[in-house]
Amino acid sequence: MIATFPYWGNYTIAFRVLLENLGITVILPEKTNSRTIEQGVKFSPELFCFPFKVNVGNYLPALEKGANTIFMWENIRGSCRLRYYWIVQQKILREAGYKVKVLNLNSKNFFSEIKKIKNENKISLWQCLKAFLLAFKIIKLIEELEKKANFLRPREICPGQTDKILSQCFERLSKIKIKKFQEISSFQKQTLWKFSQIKIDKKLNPPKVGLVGEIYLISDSSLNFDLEKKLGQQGIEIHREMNLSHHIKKTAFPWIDWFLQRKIMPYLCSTVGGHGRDAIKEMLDCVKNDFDGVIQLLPFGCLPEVTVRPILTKIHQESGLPFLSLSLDEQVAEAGINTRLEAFVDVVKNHYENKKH
Amino acid sequence: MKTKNIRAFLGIDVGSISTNLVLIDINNQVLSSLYLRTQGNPIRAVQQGLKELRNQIPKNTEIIGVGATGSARYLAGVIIGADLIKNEITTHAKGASFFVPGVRTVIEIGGQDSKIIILENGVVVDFAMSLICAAGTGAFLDAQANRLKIPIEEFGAISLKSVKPTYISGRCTVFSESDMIHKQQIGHSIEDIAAGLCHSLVRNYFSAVAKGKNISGPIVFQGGVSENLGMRKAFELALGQKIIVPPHNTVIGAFGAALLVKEKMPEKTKFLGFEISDKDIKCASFQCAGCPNQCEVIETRIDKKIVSRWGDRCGKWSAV
Amino acid sequence: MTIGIPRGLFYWKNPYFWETFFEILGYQVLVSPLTNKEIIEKGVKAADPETCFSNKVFWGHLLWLSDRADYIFVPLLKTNEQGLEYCPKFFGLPDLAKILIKTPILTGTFDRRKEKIEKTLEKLGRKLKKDKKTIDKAIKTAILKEQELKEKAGQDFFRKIQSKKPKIVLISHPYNLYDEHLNLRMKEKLTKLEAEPLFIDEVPLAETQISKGVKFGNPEFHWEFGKEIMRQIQEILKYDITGAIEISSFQCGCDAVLKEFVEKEFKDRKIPFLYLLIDEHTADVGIQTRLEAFIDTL
Repeated sequence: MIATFPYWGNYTIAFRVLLENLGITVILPEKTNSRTIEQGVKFSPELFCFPFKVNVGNYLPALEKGANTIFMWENIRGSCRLRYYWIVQQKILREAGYKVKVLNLNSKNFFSEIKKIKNENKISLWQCLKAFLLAFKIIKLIEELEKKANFLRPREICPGQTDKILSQCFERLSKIKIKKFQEISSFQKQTLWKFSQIKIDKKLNPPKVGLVGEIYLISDSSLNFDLEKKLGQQGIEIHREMNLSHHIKKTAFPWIDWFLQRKIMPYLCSTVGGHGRDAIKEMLDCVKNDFDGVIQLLPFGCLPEVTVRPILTKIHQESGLPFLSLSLDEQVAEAGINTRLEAFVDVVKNHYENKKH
Repeated sequence: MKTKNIRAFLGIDVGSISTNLVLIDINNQVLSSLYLRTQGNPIRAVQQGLKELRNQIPKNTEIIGVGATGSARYLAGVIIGADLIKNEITTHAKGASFFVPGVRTVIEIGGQDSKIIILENGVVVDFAMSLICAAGTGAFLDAQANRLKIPIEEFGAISLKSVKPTYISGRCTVFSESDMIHKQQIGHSIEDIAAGLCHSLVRNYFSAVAKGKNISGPIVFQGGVSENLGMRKAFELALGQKIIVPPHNTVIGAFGAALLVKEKMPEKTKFLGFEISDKDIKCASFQCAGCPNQCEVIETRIDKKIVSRWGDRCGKWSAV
Repeated sequence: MTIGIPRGLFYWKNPYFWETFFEILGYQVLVSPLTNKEIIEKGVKAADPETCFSNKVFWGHLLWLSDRADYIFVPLLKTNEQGLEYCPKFFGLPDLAKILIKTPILTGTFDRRKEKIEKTLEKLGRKLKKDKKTIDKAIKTAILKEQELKEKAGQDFFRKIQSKKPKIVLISHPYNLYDEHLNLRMKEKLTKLEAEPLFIDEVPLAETQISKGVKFGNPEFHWEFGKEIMRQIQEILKYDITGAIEISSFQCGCDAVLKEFVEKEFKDRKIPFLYLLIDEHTADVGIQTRLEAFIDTL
């Protein structure tokens, strides 16, 4: 088995570590860029979701290099199209002549599939468990760093310093082979030390903007045109609750969902698939915490996010909290997004200034 | 004895269809304004604009601040030496609220996109912009006027003669066009079709751009398309209230940029001087192969010297 | 008191069922008219631009009713009797309706994984302060009415399948198939072209095929329409079919998935397949041309 998997921002590092420690030979998917997107679009059904097309584009170079298995999550408890990604991807790739198997992991077959891999690669139960723990630790680390960067960017004295250090760190992390917990903690220590060296204006209290929407887009900077970096460098503190570990937590502890539903009851009394309800809850939190704006990012036509957009708009109208919804797909140009973001920053700053008076 | 210099601020708005320049004095009076076609070459348009501007103004004019806006604002800002680069939503709002203090809604339809801007107490609180569709923009009206064989300048006046505007469906250029041809074939008059196009455009505007926006008066209509009398009437009918078309309506983005740079009052302007209109300015792009991001890096050279690079994510090239 | 029912989406899942139910309960029922230009225009104007066309049409029906009815009925259909999910867009309908119009919305959650339909209907009747006897009668009559219609459709199907004309299967969701505006008057057009149109929805399935827990298909769809359509295709392929047409409404997310597998079934058997995408711009002329060309290839 020579495996690849969907590229997903910095999380790609964690997935690689997981598979490598399970004893699997890995060929990394190519990082999302204009060429991979173009290729993905060419092979995919026209009306499928944008992330689906992005995935396909990322696989292709890896398949050319010899990968024969793709790991893909099958969301059997959800109501959105992610559930069918694996089988449609397998279908179109096979039709295009690739001898490939898409290995669908879901909450039902997860343990049995992992057990199979464990037995095939002759690794111990402890090694298997360790692989997952290592990956989870890296996910947490990635999120910690991204969060820290969002805090530092608007406050840094030397513009661009945070991003320079951040990208250096991720570059290093993506190159080292991680086999022990110690390696992660020493990396973490070094990185945090580097971050602590960034000079910031401690007294500054910048305008805050919440980032809500579809999880894949909002946590992959190569897809969202570096949104967090751009806004951060224009003096905005970005808050993002939706991330992979939050999602894993929700999958593991389903009762979190009950609290979520209770919170949004006046606006929506049912799931609409994906993280539609989470977007509402997060926006309500932004209102409560006196934020200065909310940005919703969604793939064009995304079922859950499009369904909740009128509700987000209503919250925006009731509360007066600035709101910007951006639908992204292969046809959207970066220049247009930049104009909107810059104008939105002006709106957010106006809101922030008005609050003071 | 040397006469005192006239101190002025320049605003420049470089869009995909038109390039506008506005020069204002220290009392916000417009000294000169220019409207040029970009014709796919923003560099030449900026150079041409500066050349024409120099010929219009007195020799002793001293430019002490430059603001750039429009979709090509970065490029324009680099080649002209701008002190302020601002997105066109903020500059349009600025310009509108200068002429109409207390304005609540700004409708702006330009060559290639349309916007709605909602203001409260002179500041932008909400906005929207058409994303990728060309229907509902000046370029679309241009194309249809061309098809109907009427000059765009007379389009509005002709449409006003219509008694019963034709219903033209469609939100997309292609669909509107095919429906219009069909209506032409079955014998609707040019006036009715022209008026029908205006109504169709306004409908598109409300369903695609202004959806969910809280529209209240005073309402200002500006941008290239606001010159069109038929469009003004169609908007008034749809909104059921008067709309205001401010002075300098076609160049108001540039005017807003000039106002903003005046407020900022740079200590020393970065303006490179009118001479740049005679210089050899080249803009090229290449794909960086340094990492999988494969950013498209844009590079500007004045007289073969690299003055600026942008478009890269890592900052490797733009650090020049 | 008048209860309005929008003639879109959920209505076509169980036509006549809801109006029978409310009529027996003693209300005047107003179903919005057949889809027309005005309704489409209203819906397109009000709906999110990225939602599917059928959904936009639904909002048009709702808006048409807004000042004509005292209550508007918009149920939350979640799962059907086999525990399969409806389209996720259905889940948001009542809440989005409340945002769009001021007329009070009458709703109930029909999640048959958790609760029998009779129970949900009873709750709904109680909400309207009706006694159990009337409610029971209304439920019974509505269910009978639905069965009657299904039987008739089944009989029609067996009559049509005997036809000597080229038989064309029309595949789509019921809310596109039965809406004369959304189905592009396909039935009429095909009949004129000397073909026999068959609606996939009318293909009868045996009780044993559809009872809960019976596995079918790869992938086994979790959408009620997905699993049903795939099964009905299997069923109709037993007969001699000349061609198939799938009608999809623009931006329908589920159809993007479904189409991959529907098309394959016909292509594998070398049965001509035509895919039509509809939205507010779809012009009759263009469709006619494509249809004629398609019939010529048969």
